[in-house]
Amino acid sequence: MIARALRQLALLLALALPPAIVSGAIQFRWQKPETLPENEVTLAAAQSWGGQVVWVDARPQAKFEREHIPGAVLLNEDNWVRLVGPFLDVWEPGKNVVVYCDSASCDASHAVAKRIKEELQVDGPVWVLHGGWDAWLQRK
Amino acid sequence: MAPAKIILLLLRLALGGVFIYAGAVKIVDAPNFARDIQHYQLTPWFISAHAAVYLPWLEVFAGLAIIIRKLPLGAALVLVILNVVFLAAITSAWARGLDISCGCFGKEEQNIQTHFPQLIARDLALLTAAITIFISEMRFAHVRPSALEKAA
Repeated sequence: MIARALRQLALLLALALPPAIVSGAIQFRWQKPETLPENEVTLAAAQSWGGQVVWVDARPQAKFEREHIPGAVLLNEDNWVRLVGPFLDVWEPGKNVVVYCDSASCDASHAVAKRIKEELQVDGPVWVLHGGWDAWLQRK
Repeated sequence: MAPAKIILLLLRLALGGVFIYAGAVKIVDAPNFARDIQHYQLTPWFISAHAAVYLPWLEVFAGLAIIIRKLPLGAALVLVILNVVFLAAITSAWARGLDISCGCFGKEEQNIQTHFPQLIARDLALLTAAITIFISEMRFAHVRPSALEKAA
C-alpha cells in the first residue's frame, strides 16, 4: 500500500515537471546583457569594494525595517531632513555611495542619488545599484 | 450517501480547491513567489527560483487529482508533505522574528501584516484535512484494489 502511494507520488511529481519547465523558461528567460547606465553599478562590482561602500536604502521606512542590505542606512525622500544626519554620520570622504530602491524599475534611488550629489555635495562617487533590492535578493 | 462519505467529499473539494487556487495564482507570477520564498532566508536564490516554478504546478496537479480521485494516494501524500513543509517554514520564520508575507496565495496578500498564529492554524487545518483524506484513501484502496491490481 505504501509502495503504491509512493508510486503515485512519483507520478505526480513527474507530471508537474514538464509544465513547470515551460512556464519557468518563459518567466525566467535569459535576458540579454544590457549596457549599464553610466551612474549605475552592479551588485558584484559594489560588493568587490568591500568596506569602501556606504549602502543607502531609498525605499520606504517600513521596507527598510523589514529587511535591508547589512550596514545600509535609510535615506529616502519622505523623510529627507530627518535622515540626512544619520547618513552623514556614516559617510566618509572617498567612500562609494551606493543607493538602491526596490527594483530596476523604481526611481527613488536615482532621485536620492541626485540629491546626495547636488544638495549634500559629497566628495566621492555616488552610484545607483543596478536592479536595486531585487538584485540583492537574487544574488547567487 | 453515508454522512462520512459526504464529509470526505467536501474535504476533498475544499482541500483540492484551495491548492488549485493557491497554485494557479503563483504559476502566473513565479518571480514574485521566488522572492517570497527568498524572504524566508532558508534557501539560496537558485533553489528558491526553481521551487517557485515547480511547487505551484505540483499544488495544482495534486489539487486536481484529489478532487477527481486519480492517483488519490499520491495526491494526498503530496498535500500532506507540502503542508508539513509550509508549516515548518512558517514556524521557523516566526521563531526567527522575520516579518514576511507568507507567499501562500501570490501577491494579493503581500501588503498584509503577517499573523503567524493565523497562518499556522490555517496550515494545521489543511494538514488535518490532507491526513484524513490520505487515511480514508488508504482504507478504500485496501478494500477495493484497482483494476490494474486485479488484473495482475
